[in-house]
Amino acid sequence: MTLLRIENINKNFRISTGFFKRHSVISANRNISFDLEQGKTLAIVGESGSGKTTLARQIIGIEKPSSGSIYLNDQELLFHRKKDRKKRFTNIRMIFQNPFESLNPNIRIGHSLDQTLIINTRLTARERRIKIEQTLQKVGLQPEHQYRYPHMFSGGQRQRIAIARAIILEPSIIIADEPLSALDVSIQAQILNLMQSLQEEMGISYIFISHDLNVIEHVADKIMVMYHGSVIEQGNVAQIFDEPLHPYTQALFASTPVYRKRFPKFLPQGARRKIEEPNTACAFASRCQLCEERCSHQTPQLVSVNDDYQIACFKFE
Amino acid sequence: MNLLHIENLSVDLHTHSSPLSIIDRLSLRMAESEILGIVGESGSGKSVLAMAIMGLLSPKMTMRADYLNLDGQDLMKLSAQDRQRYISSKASIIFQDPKSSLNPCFRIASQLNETLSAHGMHYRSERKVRSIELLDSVGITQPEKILEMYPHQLSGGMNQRVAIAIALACKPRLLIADEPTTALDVTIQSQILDLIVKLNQIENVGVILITHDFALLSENTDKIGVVYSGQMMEHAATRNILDEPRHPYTRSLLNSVPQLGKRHSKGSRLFALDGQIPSVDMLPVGCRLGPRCPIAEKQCVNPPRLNSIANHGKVRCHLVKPNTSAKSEKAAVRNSGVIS
Repeated sequence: MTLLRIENINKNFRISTGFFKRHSVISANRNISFDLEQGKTLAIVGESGSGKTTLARQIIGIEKPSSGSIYLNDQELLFHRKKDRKKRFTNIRMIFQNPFESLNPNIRIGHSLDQTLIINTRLTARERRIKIEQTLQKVGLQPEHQYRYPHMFSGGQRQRIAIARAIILEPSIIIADEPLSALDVSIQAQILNLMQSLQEEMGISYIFISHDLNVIEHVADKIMVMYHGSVIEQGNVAQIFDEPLHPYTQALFASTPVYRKRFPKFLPQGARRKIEEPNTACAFASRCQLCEERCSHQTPQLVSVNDDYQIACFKFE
Repeated sequence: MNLLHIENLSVDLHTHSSPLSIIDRLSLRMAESEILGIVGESGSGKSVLAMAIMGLLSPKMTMRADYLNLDGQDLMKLSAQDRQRYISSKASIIFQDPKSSLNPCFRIASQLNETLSAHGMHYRSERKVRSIELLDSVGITQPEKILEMYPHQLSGGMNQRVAIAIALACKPRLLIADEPTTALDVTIQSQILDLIVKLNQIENVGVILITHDFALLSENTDKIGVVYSGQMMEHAATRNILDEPRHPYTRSLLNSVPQLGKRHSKGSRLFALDGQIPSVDMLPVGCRLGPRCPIAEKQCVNPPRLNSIANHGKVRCHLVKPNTSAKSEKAAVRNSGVIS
């Protein structure tokens, strides 16, 4: 069952180039579409600046898409309609990268969780307290932890609190924006296991943003590779990890130490193109080894190779 | 001959109450032009170790060592000033975040000049030639152009290359890279790592690569030291550590990373160590891993010693017997059902 459907999302930002000059437009997301099914995990991979977080912010409703639509359970979510916003906030929750910044240091954990409930539900004070205690136990903390402040917790525990705040409304979708990158290796495994068992218990779908390929292979069902604001390859985990077709995905694999053995030496040359530069060529052309003549003046479109595998490269048209 | 030989290095942090031990009697040896990897969680003292070798400890910390030999000279016998001068000519360090290790107010040229003139290059023309040479050696394509730029005009990977160029200015024998790639993108990460390995081969520089990522160390290092809570837990050749880790901590660290290349069935779990690294003011009695260790026994309340294990390296654990093989241990552990 399709839970969340994203259709042709575009996001443009206007940036100032100088006092008397005209604004220039950069497109952070270009024509992004995907489906997310109940209880599944979609992983979004890409370098920093590829538009992963911008996409997440539009799904959760922090930012308004320039064009395109978002459907939850086949009903469109409009950015400004109050009813839709309420629905969006209770059904889609987010876990942020850095648990040291995402929790308010001035208020107790319990109060932090309580506010989520006060705003979004009509539970009584007693019911809310029971709910908070239950949720804390679910994420592996003690009920008495609700009287503590964020600074009294370690990084892993704080990320657990951030997860508690995400699941307390029993959402159907959680967007996790690099939830592990601020944590230590041994703590990462704890959080990853917690997220997996919550998924099995509550049937949550994850949108998992990360750049760590080992973690993605472990948790994801589907993968979406982003480069420079557009999706360049999309498919099942097995397909992409067995045989990545797009040159950029291959480069990504080749630069992860242990995968390097599985793939021929293929490293991108030079740095990423500046995002402000005009969009008439394949974004990866300047670093691509297979670059042809038309790559520098045409943009490849995302084409389906088979049912659930899509790629944007002239080599596969 | 050893490039670096440390015997029983301890670092204490002085607080208003009692001194806290950050690094506890750590020993290591490093051959010339070797790449040594140091792995550990944050708070395990791996960066403090780097700072102690460089002599850059904060004034609140003091270090003691029985023997600290860098390229044939015992540093503990030198006066503070001589030691500083000696270290700065023999070793250099690259930090995690290139944006914060370069000064945003000065051009790349003047930052390189500063280091070069500190190492005795007094003529401007000479410095310019050498700067271009250095930038060229770290793979920057248009050195003349880059020299006139400010750090904010360059990307993260470029900035890290410049930081490496500055580190190479004194022609070091030892290069310490303290998490050199954590702040960078994946594709840039491998370029920087390749550069460091290339410099190690061409310029014959010994490299200490400090990281928390085993995958980074798996390809390039000769030896790995696993540090936990200020103690060396396991110190052996890379192949030995990766193929047959003997210490329970090393084993759990390796198990807690999703295994690359192995397909995971949906719903499989990673092995996770419970708890977290002890803080320096509340160290456990006996083995420091004790409270978190999956196979701890009664005898672990006594502090273990770093023992040499035949055909392996050094391991600090009561339960690793010098003459047993890794296989019999693994079987014992598997029977206890803790680590798969």
